[in-house]
Amino acid sequence: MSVFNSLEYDDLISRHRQSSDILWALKYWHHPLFDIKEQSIKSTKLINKNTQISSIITPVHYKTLPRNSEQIKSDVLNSLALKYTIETLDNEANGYEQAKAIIHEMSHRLNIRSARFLAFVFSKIFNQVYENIYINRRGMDNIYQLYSLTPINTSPTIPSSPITISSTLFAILNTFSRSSSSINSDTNLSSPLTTKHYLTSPRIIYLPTHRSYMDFIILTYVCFEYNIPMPCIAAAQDFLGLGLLANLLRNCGAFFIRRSFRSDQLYWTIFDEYVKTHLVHGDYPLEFFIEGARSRTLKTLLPVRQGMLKSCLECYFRRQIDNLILIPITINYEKVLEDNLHANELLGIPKPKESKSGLLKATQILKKSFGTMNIHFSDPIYVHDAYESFKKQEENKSNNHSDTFNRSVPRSLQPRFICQQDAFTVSEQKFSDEISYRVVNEQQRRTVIYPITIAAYSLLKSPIVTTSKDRSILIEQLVIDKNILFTENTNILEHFSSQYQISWPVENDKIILKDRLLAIYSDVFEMTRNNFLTLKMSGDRLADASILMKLIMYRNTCLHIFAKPAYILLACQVNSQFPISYEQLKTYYHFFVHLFAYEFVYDQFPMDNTNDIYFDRYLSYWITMNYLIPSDNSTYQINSNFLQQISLITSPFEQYARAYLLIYEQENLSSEKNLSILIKIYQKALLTKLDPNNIISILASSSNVISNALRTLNFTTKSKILSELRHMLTKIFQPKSTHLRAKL
Amino acid sequence: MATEGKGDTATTATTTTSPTIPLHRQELLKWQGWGYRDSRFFINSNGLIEFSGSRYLLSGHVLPRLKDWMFSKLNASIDNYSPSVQEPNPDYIQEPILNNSFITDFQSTLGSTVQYSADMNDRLFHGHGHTLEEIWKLRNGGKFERLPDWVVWPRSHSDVEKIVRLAVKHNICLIPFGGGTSVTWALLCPTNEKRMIVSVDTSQMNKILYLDEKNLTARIQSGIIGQDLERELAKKGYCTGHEPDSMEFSSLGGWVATRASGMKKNVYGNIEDLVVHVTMVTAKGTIEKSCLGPRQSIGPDINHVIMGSEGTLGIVTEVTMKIRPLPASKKYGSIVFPDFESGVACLREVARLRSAPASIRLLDNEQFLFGQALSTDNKGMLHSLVDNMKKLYITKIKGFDINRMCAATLLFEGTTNEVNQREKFVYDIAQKYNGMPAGEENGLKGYTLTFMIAYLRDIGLDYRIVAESFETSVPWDRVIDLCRNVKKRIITECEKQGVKHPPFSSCRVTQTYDAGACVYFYFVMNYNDIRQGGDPVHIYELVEEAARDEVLANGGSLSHHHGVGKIRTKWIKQAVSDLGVGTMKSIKEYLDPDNIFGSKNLIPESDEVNEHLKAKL
Repeated sequence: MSVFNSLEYDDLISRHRQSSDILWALKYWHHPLFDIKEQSIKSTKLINKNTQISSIITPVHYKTLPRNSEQIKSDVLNSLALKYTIETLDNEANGYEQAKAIIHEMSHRLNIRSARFLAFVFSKIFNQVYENIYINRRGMDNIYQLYSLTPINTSPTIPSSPITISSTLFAILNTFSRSSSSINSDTNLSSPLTTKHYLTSPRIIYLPTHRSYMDFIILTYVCFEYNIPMPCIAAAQDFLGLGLLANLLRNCGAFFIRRSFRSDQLYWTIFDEYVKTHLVHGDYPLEFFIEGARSRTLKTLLPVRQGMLKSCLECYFRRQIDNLILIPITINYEKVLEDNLHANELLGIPKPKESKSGLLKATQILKKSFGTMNIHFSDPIYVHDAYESFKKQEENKSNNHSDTFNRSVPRSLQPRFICQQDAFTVSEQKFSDEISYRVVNEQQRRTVIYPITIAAYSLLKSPIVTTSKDRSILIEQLVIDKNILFTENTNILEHFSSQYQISWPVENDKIILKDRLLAIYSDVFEMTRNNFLTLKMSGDRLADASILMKLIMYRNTCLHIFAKPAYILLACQVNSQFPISYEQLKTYYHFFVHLFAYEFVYDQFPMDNTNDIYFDRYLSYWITMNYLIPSDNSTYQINSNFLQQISLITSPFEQYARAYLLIYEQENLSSEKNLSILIKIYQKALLTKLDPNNIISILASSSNVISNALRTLNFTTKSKILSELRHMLTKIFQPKSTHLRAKL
Repeated sequence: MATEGKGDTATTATTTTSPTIPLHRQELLKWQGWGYRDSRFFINSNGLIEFSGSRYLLSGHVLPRLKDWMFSKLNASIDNYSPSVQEPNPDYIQEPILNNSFITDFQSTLGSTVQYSADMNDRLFHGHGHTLEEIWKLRNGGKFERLPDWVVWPRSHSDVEKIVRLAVKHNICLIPFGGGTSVTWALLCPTNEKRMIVSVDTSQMNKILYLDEKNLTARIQSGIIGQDLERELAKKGYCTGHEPDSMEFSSLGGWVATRASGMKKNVYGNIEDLVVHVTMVTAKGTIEKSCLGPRQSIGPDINHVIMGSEGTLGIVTEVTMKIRPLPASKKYGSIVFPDFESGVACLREVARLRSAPASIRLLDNEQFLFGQALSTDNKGMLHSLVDNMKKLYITKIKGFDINRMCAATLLFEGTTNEVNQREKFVYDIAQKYNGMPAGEENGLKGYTLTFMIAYLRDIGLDYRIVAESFETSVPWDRVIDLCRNVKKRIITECEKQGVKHPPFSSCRVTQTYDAGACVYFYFVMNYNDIRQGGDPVHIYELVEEAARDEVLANGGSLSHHHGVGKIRTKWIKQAVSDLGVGTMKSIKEYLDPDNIFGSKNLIPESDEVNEHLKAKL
């Protein structure tokens, strides 16, 4: 763990407050890869001529890069993949018309003018609602290096100083001269490719976490700020309801895709080709949300959606590009813009359709403060290197000879122009699973923990919040709990991630802490008596549930850090009367790991029959902490002196486990096969029994928890696993839990 | 000395050739580098690079811009002179393993007719090819763990039969030796070979047995080298048209054994198109077809079992090969393209229309610029003025970018009419792809340089620069991606391995086919200041391996014409599947159960090693 250190970060807000937004929006913006085209008449002709010759060898001439959106569209429409699909669909006459309509609906219209407009508008908004927007310098340096630019720290011009007229002019002059100077200077940085960067431009994919609508805008905004190419962003088609704003988004690089279209071959081909053309020609980086949707729970949405990533990876597997660079980005909000909506949606109150009137309401939001935003660019993942080491691992793993009758067609034999949905070979698919999990893991490693997370952790310690005592907490207690959770246990948490940061008032200043919580979360907290932070419970069932749900959400942001080590404590805790044997403990541990496979992100996705390598390390750690006491015949027992700390740490996991049990106890509700419908049926049943004072009940009514719990059942072998899991959970929690609660 | 080849009975026009290469090759050829002893690049008293000797067009000429290129582009320096050792170190030549019963038997039956040698220098010369690793070892006086123990020089098919018979009788390992230009470690002796190794040098089997002018074929002994063959045929008004870049030294038998490809294959065909009949002596006897019919449907082609066997099945002794009348007209040409992509598109179109000239090669930008550095002598003022005008025209008016443009060299052959028509046709296609004809002279220069490139490596090594080339073949739609990705991989891999100076990584498309092209890569690296303790040859090997992996991932073949040898056996399974390797193995086991031809080329050893290990356990 490290305490948040603002020196490693650039703060956009403090910089912008010192300068003019309009000047900033009009600043010189220069594409680092493509020079301003100095085309003589002759060479323009040459380009036209070249584009006329439709050849399978050179679809696009380098001088036409970066293409505008119309060119991209026509490239897709003229692609061989689309031609092939339309031919196979046997619907040639209509096919092209349909295709045109689809691509017209999908396509972005990225242009710098709209980006400037967006930059201007949002700099106003951001300056209003956020106190700070932090961006890690190292991440930006990495990206600069990929584009063979001078890193920010060494160049005084880019934007560490406030923007004034003169600095704008200075920046213009500098960007002009930079292209020539950076080649000669600085031998450390200029790779041999600097002079020949066109050999291959870096194929970058930005993969941010998705918690809020803000995520769509923020990266484009940052790219504009730092003079790097703006990405094309994959967005869901629901946004088209936003009308004008959707158009603005479109002009700023968003392209809109349907939610599910795997069965629609034509749509799929166009989507696939549209994504690929950006990468193959390398004129724009891409941005998409690997979780597939905004995570309402503020936890990672699992399983990872691979559709888009697979299209991208396929360009690499086909070697249409030499490498692919994935940059996971963690966007941490101190307060999520639409946390109210999220909480309601989780409780089954439907999401309002994206509309302009909704947008107007949203303007109310501008009057509030949303604290800080922290954008962390992780180190780039080079797909080539990752795949090479993955292949080496696989070689070492298996020595078995492949089945000579059941071959998977190697890439070198597959035609490259055909859009196939399942062209991935076994090892490519496995790699794709692994890398996508690695990306979400990488995102979660960079979590920033804000005071609200700790407040939520403390407040939700006990699963029932009926009395006013349960509903309030002393500020001092927050400091104590923070120390238990994060300061004392730094060592163990670092196993999972040494990267998360904690944003906390210096010297545990209680007044700042209190003011901050009250100011930012005025909808949740109020102050009662002296230094007691109290929940604003109104008595309305759903409203109360929604407040608790919000706390649950903010608590969620840190749970993945504790999950694995806490399982050990949890297993011991529920067995507190008897010592528990090593084998039994391990069984329980793996049981929990698998049970919550979709709930929390681990270091790797839990596979069947694998022994978790960290188990022993966690166990011995808890022993050195004195939380667990080993006895001679390798059994373990909980140290009752630390019961308070232990139950604090394990409380969320026990609540989740009990919520799962509650879900599994629903008697055969339906034989529905469709997961999303099934979830709705479950949720309806559970909501009728909702107890707004019981966190377990609220959790069990959350659509996300239901879907994760059902996913764990693994569908096909559902009934068998269900009874097994239910049995196990009952065994763990039911008989002794009453006893345990009596003790507490 | 009377030779009793079985060809003798049919000989109607045996030609006695005067072979270029002497029995003891090291008398004429460098023992530690490429080519003739008298021909090499060196820095002359004026501090400029000059080519010595009188054998080539370039001989005696100064290349004024080459040194600058070497020193500026590769960051080489005159201070980093690293000459080769002068003579092989006798201490490093291991004592031969001799099988005395074989030797006595050999001396009593063949001693009078077949020359043999156990001389250190002969053994050394026959124990290596020309990959960087081998030349590096020679130049630095390194030790070869295993060398041939004996060298024999059969003069006819029947000599070979007798030698093989003796070898089988006494369990001797035989390694055929043709021109010694292998770049696949095919001539390296397996280090774990405990039997006596005899290198069978076919260089004395160098006669054209007869010419069949009615069928336009010739029966030729396998040891003849390319230049002798073409010279002798030319005297009679014929040629084979098979011109691999190594044709000065490589032999007919070697071409057959490795499935060679010639520069002018578009007109004459590759070796598999040229061979009508081939005779090979295996450990079980002689294998050949019994008919000279031009095409036969008689099961899998036995000729194709022999071709590409890389010395693992037997020794090719005689070949009946197609010949053609010498072309009436021969014309060079060249085209400049604004970029590599246009060039490839043009070549693809030429191939699509099946209108390729005898040879068409596309150099990428790096090689195009390098070619400029190889020009001889500073031209007169007028000439350079004209040059500058041309350059201005191309870059300013046509809009070509000097850092992107590339060039194709062309060679037309045939009747005067054919050549003129074809030339116009090709230039018309080129124009569609923005190509501009750049004159005959440049084309001629390009093709002369072909023979120089191998010499260039030696001067590179003198100044701590290592270089190597490798080739592949690939479908048309992947050509550009493959070229770009492999070049990039070489650069990034060098960076990863801690190479300080940017390497020269370049490629050219050297052959066109209906369904794809052959691509040649050049990789030159200055190994000064590499990471501490780094071994340049090891780094070089890692880079080459990464590049080969990249080639395969891009859908390129393991080899277009160099062969597999021992350097690429680790990929052969991937290339031909497990069953493919099994098929090769079973042929080998049938024809050579005792592994007499034990060069261990082509077929991976892994299973044997495993069994070996198991036996040890």
